[in-house]
Amino acid sequence: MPAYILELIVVGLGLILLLLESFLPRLGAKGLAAIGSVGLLVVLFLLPSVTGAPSESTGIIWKFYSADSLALFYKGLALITTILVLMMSVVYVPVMQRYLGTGGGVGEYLILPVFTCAGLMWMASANDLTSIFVSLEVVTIGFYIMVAYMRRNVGSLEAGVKYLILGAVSTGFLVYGIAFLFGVTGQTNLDVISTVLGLLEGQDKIILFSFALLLVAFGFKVAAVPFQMWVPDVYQGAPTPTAAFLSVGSKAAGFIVLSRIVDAFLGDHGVQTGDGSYQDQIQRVLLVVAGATILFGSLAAIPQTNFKRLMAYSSISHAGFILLALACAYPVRMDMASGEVVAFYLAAYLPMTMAAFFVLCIVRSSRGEEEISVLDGLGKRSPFLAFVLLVSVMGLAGIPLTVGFLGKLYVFQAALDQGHFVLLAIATLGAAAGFYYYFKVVRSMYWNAPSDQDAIAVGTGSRVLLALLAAAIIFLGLNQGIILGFLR
Amino acid sequence: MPLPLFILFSALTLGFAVAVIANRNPVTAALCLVVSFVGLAALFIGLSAFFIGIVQILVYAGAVMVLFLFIIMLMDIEEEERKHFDRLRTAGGIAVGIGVAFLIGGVLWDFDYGKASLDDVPVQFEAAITLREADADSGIVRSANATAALREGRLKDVALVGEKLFNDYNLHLQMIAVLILIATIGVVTLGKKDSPAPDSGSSGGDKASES
Amino acid sequence: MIIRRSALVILMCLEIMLSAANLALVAFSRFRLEAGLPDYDGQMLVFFVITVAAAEVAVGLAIVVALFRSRRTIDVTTLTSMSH
Repeated sequence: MPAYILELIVVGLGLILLLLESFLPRLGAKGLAAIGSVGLLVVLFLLPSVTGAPSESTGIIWKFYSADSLALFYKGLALITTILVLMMSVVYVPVMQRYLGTGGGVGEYLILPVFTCAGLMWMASANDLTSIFVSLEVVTIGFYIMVAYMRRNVGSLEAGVKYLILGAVSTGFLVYGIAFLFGVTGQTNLDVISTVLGLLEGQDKIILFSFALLLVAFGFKVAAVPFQMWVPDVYQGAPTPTAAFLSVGSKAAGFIVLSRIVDAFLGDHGVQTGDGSYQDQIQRVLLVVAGATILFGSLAAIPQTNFKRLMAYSSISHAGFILLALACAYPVRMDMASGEVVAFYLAAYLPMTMAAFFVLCIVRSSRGEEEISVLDGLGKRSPFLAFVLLVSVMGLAGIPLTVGFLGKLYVFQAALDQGHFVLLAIATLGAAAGFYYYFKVVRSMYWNAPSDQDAIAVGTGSRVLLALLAAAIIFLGLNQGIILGFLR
Repeated sequence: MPLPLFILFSALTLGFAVAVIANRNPVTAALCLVVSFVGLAALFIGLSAFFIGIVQILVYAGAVMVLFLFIIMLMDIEEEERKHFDRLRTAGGIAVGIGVAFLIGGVLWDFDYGKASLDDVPVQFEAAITLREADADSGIVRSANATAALREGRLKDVALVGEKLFNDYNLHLQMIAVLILIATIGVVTLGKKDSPAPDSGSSGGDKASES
Repeated sequence: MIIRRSALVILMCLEIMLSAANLALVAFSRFRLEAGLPDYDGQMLVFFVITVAAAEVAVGLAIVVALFRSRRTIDVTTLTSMSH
């Protein structure tokens, strides 16, 4: 079965959900989410059985669409993320209804992630500038709507407007960057572009310019400094499941496209490692951006009191670590390719972030706010939630025996291999700052006195999912071979 | 395109684009944008992208502008507050604009094609016809209609665009379909009022599917 | 875009930005002859950009209208309800 059938199934699933939502309204949010998740699970199980491009080039589609192991891996990430987001949305529905007024319409909130997931999967496979643009826009427009979804909540709308304006600006940069890259190479396929770039001489300026424009565009998507200003506000204002989706799904898709583009620019063709070749300059820019992102994210997270803002800054700092791994693609080839380090880090980041946001969703739907102080005494009130959050926060901080530690370890190793010692120092500082601000959460849970004694009700389904996520964080941390096995 | 016409249309596009930013009244700004886009469409046609030029007028000057004006009227927005634009922001905006202009100019100056003129790269009808016939013989879809027009020395743009769009770019077309579906769903839900009366939101969705 | 504060006019300015990129694309596709004809790959992208921009405007205006309904203003400098 060719790989592009998967997206068609996902889109079809979305259409079926739309019809069910309008013709079988008694299905309710739970039913919709259940059907959606089961459908996506089926696609997830189909994933290993798909085939990539046939050897004899039949069908024009493979010019625009690749199904290499990396693409399939990211497709899997997108599917798992979407399933978790659907589950999270079910928990979040009561909060949502408060802000939707009598017009209702929670159903669409559960259907949009399915369509967005198809966009994410297309992005994972895009190896052509046109495919990148179109699939990216499918995802972005889905997110505009999901961020602004709570239309009676001023915060959500504000976040929507901010995300819309900055997202549209980044689209502008993306199109302009693509235009220049197309202008200088005359090609849209990234593999061909990579070859053509190796042959060009004396065009360094325009190549650098187009790369800078593309970096700005994707800097917005993956939340790299200095294009991170939308992140805290949007995370805080958006519905919590959307924030989780943004921080994992959107970021992962942004990184696979960015790594494909960086590959095309740095590629194997340029053995001319002279000081001042455009490859060198691109790498230097990436390193600076990575360092700034780690520093800014880690330091700005320290004074935060809102849990979602804390997660926002922490996601910025994680983006910095991933960028650092990306910048290590050049010039030395490593035994673990930088694309694999990036994929591993993102796969590690998924269960940790999802678990944290999931707990937040549950707490939020029983208590009305999202400050860290809401977690006071969670260790006494509901030890299970506190334990899951503890595990996920430990993973995010990168404590040994969790999968987060391995992710950071690989990044450090890559930086060491390429001899970027300054960046290594910055990354260490960032990780140390991480210990501090994540510890705030732990302290609030276990040391602070609870403001009320009521236990927080957790449904059986959420309980099972949370346990699975926590187990994944620890289990994957002990067996790094599993993720790597999927990668290869 | 003759040079005087090029200068005229470029000036039209740029001048009215600046007017969009400088005008305080949103209705005036929207109408300036229409003129700017018509100039842009003329530039597209000058670059022998006839289809894109027409689409530009239909979609932007037509549909998008109607939508803008409709929303402006609906919200009954008066002019922005009387006080002058924030000095700092104005200066910043102009500085950014000039900086980007210089950057692009500098980049293009170094670029081979930056100094070429259209006469240097005429459309090569003979070469195109031979290649297309060879392709058609080897089973690749090539519109015979367009090849015939090329033989008469005419560039049948729409047929060529269609040939590319519905053969090579079929996947993208499906993605765009999903995108417009998402946009429609979103606009309908975001535009919902507490009362079930139809409202502006759904009209936005209809427009998106038109384009 | 930096100068204006009305969300509507900002959306218009975004359209101008995308149009500029479109013009660059069309120009490059005309100068890059492929098989003797303008390179239609570039024009395809322009076509998709126009479509996406129209959809983006539709969604953007819906969000702006929703914002206007709840706030009675669309001035983006007033969007400061979140803590910093």
